[in-house]
Amino acid sequence: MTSFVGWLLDAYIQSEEAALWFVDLDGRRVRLTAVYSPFFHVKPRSQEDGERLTRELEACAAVDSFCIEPKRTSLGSCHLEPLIRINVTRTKEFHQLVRGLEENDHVSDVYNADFKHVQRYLLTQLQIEPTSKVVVEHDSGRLVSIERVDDSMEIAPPPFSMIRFRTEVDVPSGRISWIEINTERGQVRLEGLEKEVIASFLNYVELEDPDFLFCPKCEEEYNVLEARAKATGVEFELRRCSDAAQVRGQGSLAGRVVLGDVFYGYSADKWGIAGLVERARFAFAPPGLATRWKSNRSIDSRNCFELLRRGYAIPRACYFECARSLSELMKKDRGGIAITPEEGLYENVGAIDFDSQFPSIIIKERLSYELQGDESFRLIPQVIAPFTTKRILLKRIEGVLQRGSDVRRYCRQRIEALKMIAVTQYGISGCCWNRFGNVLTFEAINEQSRKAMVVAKRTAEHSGFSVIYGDVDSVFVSKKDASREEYEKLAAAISAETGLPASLDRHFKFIGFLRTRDGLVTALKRYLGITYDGEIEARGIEMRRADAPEFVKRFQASAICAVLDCENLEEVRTLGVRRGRELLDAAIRAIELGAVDTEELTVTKCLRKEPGKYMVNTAQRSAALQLIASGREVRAGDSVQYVFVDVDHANHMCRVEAKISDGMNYDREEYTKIILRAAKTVFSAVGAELETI
Amino acid sequence: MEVEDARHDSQPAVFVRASELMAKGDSGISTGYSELDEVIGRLQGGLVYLFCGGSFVDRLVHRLMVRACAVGKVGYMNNTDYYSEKTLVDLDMLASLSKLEGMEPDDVLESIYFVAAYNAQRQRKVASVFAEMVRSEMQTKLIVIHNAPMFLVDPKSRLKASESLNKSLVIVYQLAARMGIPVVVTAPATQISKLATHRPFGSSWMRHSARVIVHFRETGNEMRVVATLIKHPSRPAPVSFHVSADERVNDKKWSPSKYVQLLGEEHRRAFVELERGAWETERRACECVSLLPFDTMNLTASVFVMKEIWRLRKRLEELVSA
Repeated sequence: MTSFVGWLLDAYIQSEEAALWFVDLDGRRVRLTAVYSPFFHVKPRSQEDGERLTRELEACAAVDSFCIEPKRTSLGSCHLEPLIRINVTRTKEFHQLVRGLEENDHVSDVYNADFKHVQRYLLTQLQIEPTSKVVVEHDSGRLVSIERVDDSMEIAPPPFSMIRFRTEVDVPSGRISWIEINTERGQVRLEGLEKEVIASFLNYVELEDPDFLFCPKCEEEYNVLEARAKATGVEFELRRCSDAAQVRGQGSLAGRVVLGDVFYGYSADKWGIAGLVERARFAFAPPGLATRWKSNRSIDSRNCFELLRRGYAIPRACYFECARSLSELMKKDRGGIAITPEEGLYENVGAIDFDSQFPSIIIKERLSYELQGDESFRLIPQVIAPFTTKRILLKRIEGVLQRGSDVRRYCRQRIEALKMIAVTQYGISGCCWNRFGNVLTFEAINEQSRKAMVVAKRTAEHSGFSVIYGDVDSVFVSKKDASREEYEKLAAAISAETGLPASLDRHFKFIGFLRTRDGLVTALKRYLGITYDGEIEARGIEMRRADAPEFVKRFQASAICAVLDCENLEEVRTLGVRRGRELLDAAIRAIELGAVDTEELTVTKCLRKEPGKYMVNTAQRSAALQLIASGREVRAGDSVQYVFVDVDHANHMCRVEAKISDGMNYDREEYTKIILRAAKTVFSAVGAELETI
Repeated sequence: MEVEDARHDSQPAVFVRASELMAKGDSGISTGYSELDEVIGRLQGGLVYLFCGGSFVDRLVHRLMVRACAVGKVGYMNNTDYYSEKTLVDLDMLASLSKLEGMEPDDVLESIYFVAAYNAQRQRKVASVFAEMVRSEMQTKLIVIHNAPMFLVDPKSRLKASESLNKSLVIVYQLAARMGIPVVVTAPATQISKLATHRPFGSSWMRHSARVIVHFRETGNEMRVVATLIKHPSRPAPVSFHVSADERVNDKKWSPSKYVQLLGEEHRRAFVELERGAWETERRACECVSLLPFDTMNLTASVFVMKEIWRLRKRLEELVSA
């Protein structure tokens, strides 16, 4: 018997047993197998029905064995009910048997029946989250024992490797034109004859031997690659062993994982393995499933794990809501509080933020799906408490890590992934597709959030601060000549009054609140400012828009800095505005002289529908049609890039150019208009009008 | 006790004396639309009415709920997609209809209890919870199941959704029959071919179990709706007729709602009661005209104010000229 320390990379069910892949400390990939016995529970309608049912089960070949097990069946109740545990002979017969018993007259309910086999194995037998660090003992390829090693304070991710690839398909012929491969070391583009491109790709994978394969279109792109390999006579082999590939559904490729396209809070493009690890551990799912499941499935998986280990049997669905009057609905169905700001420029403003407000409320008030019953156990607080604590701790650690370092980047990835895990708990709590979803819980969380905001406002005003702006979980307060320490003291006072963690998130030297684009009212989430550390903060303006050209983003950021980096309000309105005007003139001059790099003027937009389904000739539609005409495949959800070349052209197809090249002519008038709009936003925040400067 | 129960259960509840029926003639809930009442009669306890069509069905349901609130409580089962809207109840419509019926919108909202089924899986459980509420709330005078076949839209899960719908309806129908509460079910309309008559979208059982089925079609004229009686136990069907959709023509009522909002909460109810009594005579007198008493008062006040303005303006002109 031998042992090693490593990380659990992937798990899947293969030939009635579990196959587990590990990466050990020396970077070796190890495959082990373990016993898997599928089972589920049923509740007979009565004792008599139970007796009849057992006689039927004895005669059923698909049933390996059965026994009576006392289980909790209702969330919030300590009552144990005798259920029949049915061990199934083969995985293939599992669902058929479940279906049969669901329709059986003697059966009242079926439990633990709607998990995937690999999920059932992980939740009930292995009980270790995928990607965890483990100590493994094995013998002749069989898992003997496994124990989790606590690596919760390790910031760097496990040594999993990943390559990202993108295939370009020629639409008329369906052939692969090229494959672009990205690794942490750089980018490679494989071009030439299709057969050679595919063969080179397979060689590359064999050489690099990555654990994760990621392609933007997930299984679809993988399937195209496989189909074209067959068509061109190339032997398509990406597996590490002879196990059957299970790409469809869970992404397992016999030792490698084809990742899905669901990335919450982190991005595969930025090699977010640290974020992926957090997600996989929370969801109690292999990385392939963790990147295919959306939040509801991930939360459900974690919920089920917490319940199963406490002796619960998991029903198909629970229902906690009761009938209530419409007047009650009107009173309770409300979100958080927002305090609309007054338009204008403010000096010395503190943004006090409730740290992870909704998760903190859930933990403090012990709000869960089961609002009544057993007080000692509440599901949602139990599930999110460790993840929320870890996030707060990582946030503190991040502050002392060197800017630009890899460790800081990993830390951020983990924080972002954990943020989404905690935040989605709130949203999913009242969702009808959540197995335990309860609208009343969702409303109770909102109610507590409103109370916290009211208390925060009152506390700030009692301390002599004026509340400028509030948005659900943060308040922007101001007091003449108040120091940073005073703001921090106020944050501590708010935290003490509400019982929720609150801190001074940003200390603005100047902050300007803007009107909505139509100019009618002050907008809720539209402001720009500069902190005492010189950091620019902006919401809802051009530089925050994903489709804004890089040149515009850069110009606006510099303009904000030039205008607001002053000593006092008077200086902002004189020196600051003058500096901003000079920057604007320089930007317009560069555009008019054609000196701006075309790449920097590129607009990137996502197609919300198929190019043929657009009713209006938008710029992105024209760009998409140009790409299609040149043989590219463009679909809804794809991003298209284009440059304005002549926006007044009668033919909409000639207004933009999707094939961007250096030195191409762009519509100078249009880009001048765009830059003027961006400048106007900045100037209006300080009360200056562009026309009069 | 068991013998007593058994004896009670064995009584043939289905037989009713003709004289009792005659006496009952005026009972039930009026739909508020006289043309519709003439064809289908008032809504009778224990019977299922299936209304299908477009936006008028929404309005009809709202009106029925308001009218039922005048005599008791209303159970409302909501079938909506969680992501698009939480409830099909239009609170503005409910408030305006409440005022029209001379009721306080707050009282109406308090009298309607609801449950929401956001997907087929939950529909059956919701129906059980709803039935439990109806059973405990003895004052329930009307049950509304709005847009019942909502979850049958997805063809992939239609079979399961249909099964869930039927089971949900059975739970509610059984209880409604036992407690003598009328049930109104609504559904969108569907048409097999352009020449065929409209029929309610949904399961076959849903259509078979309904005692009366009416389809409503909006016309170019907002005030008129074409109704088609598709199914009725004693009337020939299909037969079409017009329904006037203008509630003011059907029923004019006095509404103090706008004014009582100015009063404190503790005096509001007392004020409403006092005022209702005091203005009862005027209300009756005004039923034959299109003006409401408070509108008349407002008009009088406006005329007086206008007169004062003119007087002051004239005086000012005189002063200026002097």
